[in-house]
Amino acid sequence: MRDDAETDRLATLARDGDADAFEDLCRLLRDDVWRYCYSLLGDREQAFDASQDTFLRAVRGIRRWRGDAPARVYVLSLARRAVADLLRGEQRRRRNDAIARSTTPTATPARTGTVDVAEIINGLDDDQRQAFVLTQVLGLSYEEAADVADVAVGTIRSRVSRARARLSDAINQAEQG
Amino acid sequence: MRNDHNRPAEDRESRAIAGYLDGLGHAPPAVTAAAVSAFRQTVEPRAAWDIPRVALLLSGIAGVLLDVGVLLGTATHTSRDVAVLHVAMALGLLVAAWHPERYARGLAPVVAIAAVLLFLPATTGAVTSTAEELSHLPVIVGAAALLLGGWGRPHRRSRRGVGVVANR
Repeated sequence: MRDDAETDRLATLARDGDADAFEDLCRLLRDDVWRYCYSLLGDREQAFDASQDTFLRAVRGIRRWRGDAPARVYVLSLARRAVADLLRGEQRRRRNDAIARSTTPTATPARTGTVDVAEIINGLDDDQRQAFVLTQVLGLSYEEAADVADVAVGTIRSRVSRARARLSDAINQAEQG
Repeated sequence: MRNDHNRPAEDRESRAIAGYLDGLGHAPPAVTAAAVSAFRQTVEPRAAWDIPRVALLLSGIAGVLLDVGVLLGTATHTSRDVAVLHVAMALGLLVAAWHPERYARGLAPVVAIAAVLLFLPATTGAVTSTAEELSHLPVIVGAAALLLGGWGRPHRRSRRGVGVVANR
């Protein structure tokens, strides 16, 4: 369950140098960061690396957090950069733009009727999947998701709308079939 | 007003998303360990140059000066071995004086035991000469400084936040 007030309180203490508060903040946010990274990368080892990198970025980054956005949003924006850097590194190594796609659908499938939800979500393009996960899975508002993804709110709305439509169509088709 | 015809579809979508969330699972706890450790190092206060820390420094310097002559000279093999151990312990005291919050806690048992074993002959009357016994003073002072310096306390402070503890 989201508790932005507690998260922000811990972030404020951590910004002032409270190591215990930083540890508690990491503990509160680690599932969100993990799920975000795992849903975008689809590989546990890469998700671990990106999540770990996110929190390492937060060691210095938390001092730059000014409280104008929730700390959760700020840390997830660090996760977005960590994921992007990891994918860039992979692409440089393999010279293969399809690397993200090829490793995506490994999350445990969740079935509704005969629908493989994970397959549908992993089948979305990266931007749609990011918008969908931020708003529908992690529960961020459209404004917060826009901050994390560094795009306009309208862009997030349209991406989420298209993603939900695909999911809804797939569920309907499965039920009719 | 919400259209009730949409509710079953929304429920199915919510269940699907909840299932997807379950599939993603929880973060491995180790994922934050490196960051927490790095953060602690950035905010760790440096120890003040108080009396125990100065005592560590001086006893370390004295220990090195007392035995470096034996190391450089033509002493017997046994004397050189003993001098090596003394100098090693004195250098340990200097390292502990440099970063007591890191090294004092680990060094304390070794130096304390050495101090007790060096001090025992004096209590049983088996002292050969006072001057020789005074050469043990750096180790004894170093042990006292390590034990009284307050660096042996557990690093972690008490926990706060009921919700956070429950989440652990």
